[in-house]
Amino acid sequence: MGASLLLLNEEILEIPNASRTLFIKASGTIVGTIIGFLSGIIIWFYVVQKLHSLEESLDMDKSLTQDERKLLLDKLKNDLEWLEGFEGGDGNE
Amino acid sequence: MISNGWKDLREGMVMSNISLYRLVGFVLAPFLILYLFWWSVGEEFNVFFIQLINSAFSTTILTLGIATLCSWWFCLTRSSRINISIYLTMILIVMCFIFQICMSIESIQPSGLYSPVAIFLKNGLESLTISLSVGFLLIIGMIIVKDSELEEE
Repeated sequence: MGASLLLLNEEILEIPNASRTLFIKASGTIVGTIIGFLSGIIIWFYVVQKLHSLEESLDMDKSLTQDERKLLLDKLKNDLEWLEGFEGGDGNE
Repeated sequence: MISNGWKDLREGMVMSNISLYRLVGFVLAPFLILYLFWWSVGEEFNVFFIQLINSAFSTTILTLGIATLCSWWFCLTRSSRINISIYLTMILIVMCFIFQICMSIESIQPSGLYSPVAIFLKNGLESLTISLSVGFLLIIGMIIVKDSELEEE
């Protein structure tokens, strides 16, 4: 209350008020920084989202090629072998 | 993580019967009264808008620069897609070019600074100082809130 009374009556009380400009300048810097930071983040997110939306969705093949078929079956065989040898729990204990 | 913090803050405010708008109004009202009074007295507000434009441009470039660096890092070390980094770099170059043109206009140049690089460096430094101060305040606030929560438990 006291501070606001002093601030609002600087002219009448003849208090030096050269720091007003600095105060206004600092407020401009703070508001500008907030606006700049938000706009930077918005541009960044917009670019990332736009580029993701331009990507085509993956299509599944109708049939497997011979190589793919062999790779898949080998992987399945390895998994089954691992399952057969699995005794449960952590082997290091 | 940020959204959780925001949710916690909102819930805490609702529980304590505090309105967010009232809090923002409470913080901003003294400044608004002061500025309106100064404006009525005839104080120059040109410096406010000049500083606002310069800081907004500088911080946008800084934020985009950091984002571009991060995207290149993710691209080169974590096999992320290169097109995001390329697009961000292009946007950053275009923004720098626009900044260069805008800062050549005399009416929005801050007093004493005549080259866009000098304006960018000065405003960038100021913005970083303010961001660090705000970050420091937030960390202290969070520590105080966490401590009081632990004491209640």
